[in-house]
Amino acid sequence: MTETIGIIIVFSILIIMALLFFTRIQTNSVEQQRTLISGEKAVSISFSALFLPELECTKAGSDDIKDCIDVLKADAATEVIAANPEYYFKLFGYSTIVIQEIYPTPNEKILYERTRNGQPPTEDTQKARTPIPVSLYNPVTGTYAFGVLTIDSY
Amino acid sequence: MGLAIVVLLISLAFLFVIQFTITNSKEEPQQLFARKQLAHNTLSTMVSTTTACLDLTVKDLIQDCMDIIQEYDCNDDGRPDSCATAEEVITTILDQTLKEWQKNYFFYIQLGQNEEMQIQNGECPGSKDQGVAFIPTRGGRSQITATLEVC
Repeated sequence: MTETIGIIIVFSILIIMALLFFTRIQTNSVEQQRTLISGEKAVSISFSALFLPELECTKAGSDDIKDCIDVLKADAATEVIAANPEYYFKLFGYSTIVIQEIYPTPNEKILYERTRNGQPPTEDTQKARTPIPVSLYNPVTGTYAFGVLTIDSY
Repeated sequence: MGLAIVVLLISLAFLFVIQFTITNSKEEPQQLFARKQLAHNTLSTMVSTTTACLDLTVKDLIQDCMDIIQEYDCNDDGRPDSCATAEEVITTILDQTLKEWQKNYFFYIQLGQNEEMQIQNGECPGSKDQGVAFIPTRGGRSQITATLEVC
């Protein structure tokens, strides 16, 4: 009798633990699925941004410099993107694209930003981040800075 | 008999948890993409970067550094310092990117078979992705190889 009661108690504990475990797995897998989709989108957005004619370097003979962004074009592109949000939403979706200069003069510029809730992203906002090192070409001085194009996909 | 079944159930539950933990540590596509292109992109971008030294690129500084007679004097003290300047710029860039992203790396420059410069952050015992840039020497006698390994 005592053994039966003991087994029922242990069995009930096991069932409760299993239920908690499966609930957690379910929650995690939904979050993972969302991160996975965000990740795939981040890769796709990074290609779109890198080969965007509004940003790409067009210096004659610069074919050998891959992953290059023209900083003057980027300045103009920021205004164009802000003025045509629906067109660029089709390209970039819910994401933040930042061009960051690392060397020689550290600074950063937000090229595009759109979150799901319309609020600026916080540290807790779930995202898939893809940083891509890029050359930042200044056609006036003819110099190349070291930069990073960061894509946060939500 | 009842206790044996309970022990069996607990063992099965543990096996299930372990299996779930192992299969869940898979790399996501964007992580794989970012990792694969990181070493190559960082190196190729870094080599073509214009430095504050006489508007020379990192590639120019490396070429001068590997030459028998060095020419460029970046701080105007009458002594050529292309090696020190190249190392400083490369360290700054790698510190602000890979180190900031908590990635271990090993950067080195070889002239022919000889290793001439090394910049390292942490150990790199496991798998790594490699980016290589080939730079001709000024005289064209030999080849400089810049390699960046990201762990």
